[in-house]
Amino acid sequence: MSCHETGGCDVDADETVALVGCPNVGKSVVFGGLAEQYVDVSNYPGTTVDTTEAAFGDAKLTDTPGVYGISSFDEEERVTREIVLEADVVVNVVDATQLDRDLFLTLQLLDMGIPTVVALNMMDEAEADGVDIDADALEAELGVPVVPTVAVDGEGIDELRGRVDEARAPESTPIERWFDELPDDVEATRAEKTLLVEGDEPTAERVSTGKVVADGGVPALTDVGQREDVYGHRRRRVEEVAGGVLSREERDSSWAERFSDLMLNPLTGTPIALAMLGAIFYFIGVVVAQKVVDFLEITVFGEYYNPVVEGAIESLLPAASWAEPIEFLLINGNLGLLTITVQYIVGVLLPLVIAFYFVIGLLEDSGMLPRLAVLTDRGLNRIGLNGRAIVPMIVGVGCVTMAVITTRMVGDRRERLISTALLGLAVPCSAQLGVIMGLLAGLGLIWWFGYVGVLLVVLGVAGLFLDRTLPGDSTPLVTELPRMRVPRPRNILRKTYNRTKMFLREAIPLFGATAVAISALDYFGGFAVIQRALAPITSLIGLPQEFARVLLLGLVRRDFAAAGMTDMALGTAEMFVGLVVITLFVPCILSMVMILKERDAKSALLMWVGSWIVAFGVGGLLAVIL
Amino acid sequence: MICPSCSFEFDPSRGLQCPRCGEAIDCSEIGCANCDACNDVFQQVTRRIRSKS
Repeated sequence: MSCHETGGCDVDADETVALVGCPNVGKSVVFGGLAEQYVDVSNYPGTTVDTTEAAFGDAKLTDTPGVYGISSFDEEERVTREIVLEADVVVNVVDATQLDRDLFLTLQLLDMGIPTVVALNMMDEAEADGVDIDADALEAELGVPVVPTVAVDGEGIDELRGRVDEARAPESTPIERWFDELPDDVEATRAEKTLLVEGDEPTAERVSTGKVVADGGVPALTDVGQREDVYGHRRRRVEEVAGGVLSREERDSSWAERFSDLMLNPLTGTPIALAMLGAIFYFIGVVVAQKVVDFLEITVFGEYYNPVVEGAIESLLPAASWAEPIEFLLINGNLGLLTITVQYIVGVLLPLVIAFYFVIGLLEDSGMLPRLAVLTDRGLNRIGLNGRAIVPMIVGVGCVTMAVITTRMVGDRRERLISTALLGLAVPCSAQLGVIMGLLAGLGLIWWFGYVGVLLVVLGVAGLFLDRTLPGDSTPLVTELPRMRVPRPRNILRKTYNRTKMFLREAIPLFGATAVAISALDYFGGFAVIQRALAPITSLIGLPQEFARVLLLGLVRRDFAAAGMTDMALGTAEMFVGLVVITLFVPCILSMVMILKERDAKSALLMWVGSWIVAFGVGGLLAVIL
Repeated sequence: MICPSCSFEFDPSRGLQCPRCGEAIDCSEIGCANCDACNDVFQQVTRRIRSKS
């Protein structure tokens, strides 16, 4: 299935150049260097895997997910396999510091007969490691162009661009000895035959000989054990090629290696990680989510932007009854399309998005992120997650909306669901936490510990429950540890800019549509109905009917709910129960929109309903105990 | 056995190197419960000792 058939491509070109390589080899940087412009980031049809496309001369350049081989063991590999099978040319990005690992994919591409150019990237780091690679000898061994590059500095990119036209594959490779094992009547390309002898099931289904077995499936085209023979033989070829072109000079371990060792040792790594997570929380949760956002919301929007826009709209629209709903839609105080919605996007979301992508870029570029994941893996395994979930959990204390986006990095669909559900349920955002901490301070320190304890118990129980009930198993943390290095500002800023741009392009229409829907509900009295309906529920948790107003505010924004409790006359236990309930209560509208966007409608609805049940269940229990 | 580096599942009885990414698996990194490379407990002990030396 090509993207032309599915309509998934925005770049209209006859020829496709695919960028293929293992994870963390600098593919995206090479893509940025080769691409004439960023065009589109979208899910590959039928998957949740992102692919990026751009114009490249008359061709379309496609960046693929990082894979160790062309096969079908997971969704990323299946997407890459489809793109490679459709591609006219492949630019294979190889990490010069991991030549013996990455050449497996290169030889596989050549076995498949895919016209290939090799970008031998990270040559500077290989040199720093004392590794010397003879690129000319490698080119002679492989029989395809090999271009040494340092993509982050732009070195070699022009030569690579110029040599794409020279892409080729050897006429024949040792893989062909296995082709004789295939049935005589199989009609397949060399690429498909290679995948068939490697036991690739989707290829076997597609290139079936037409024979149907008793259960209605297609017959296996090769022996199951053959894949290991083919892979083992290719691995020996890789070692021969690498051994012939690579020489290594022994050097003392660098500061980066020593720091990496400290990070991976739990005794030293835990305090380093805690300090780092504290710094991230301070930067995103305090500096950006509170100080910067407060300045933008209160000063820029509250004092200048919103009054100006409201004044302009009121003067532009006539004082007629037909104009009243339009005016309400555009400038109402809850979620006006031109006022509060713009304030949320520009004043709240944009600074948080930039800060988050900046921090993630910093952690990625320095090599800290995978080490942090390794360190926290064991603890998070207990609630069905792996080490990669540490970032959304920390970011969630800053802003749950932002954290929902970061669940993309967590792993498969199951883990994304668990982490999103936990974020929506039991992780208070910093805006809400600020108000809650103020109210708890008035109750005493013991209540603060009680509050944290209740949230941790809910987090643990909910995680265990989801881990036990959701189908499938949690995926183990499989992560390549790239070398540690001083992060490169240009690289981080470029990533931050591109990711923020892509995010806003996707998110703005969603927020706009939500604002229109909520304003319509508000205008036609839907909020008043909801408030009346909520009133009886508050008695379940032993709180007065006015608490329904707090819940209604919580439906829109979590910190509004917390702020709504500040003027309520409640006893100590009532205040504690109320604060726990509004923390466990449904995520704010921005978070719900993001959950809807990142997951699906059914999951979002279940999480929303589940939050009601847990919030009132735990609240009711606490009301009885206290 | 599933390679801890690239998650490729391979038969460890042919050797403890992942044929796809080339990662040499160490007994100290992967417990016996996740590996069936050894035929008996003596081989397990021998291999563990070798991996530590």
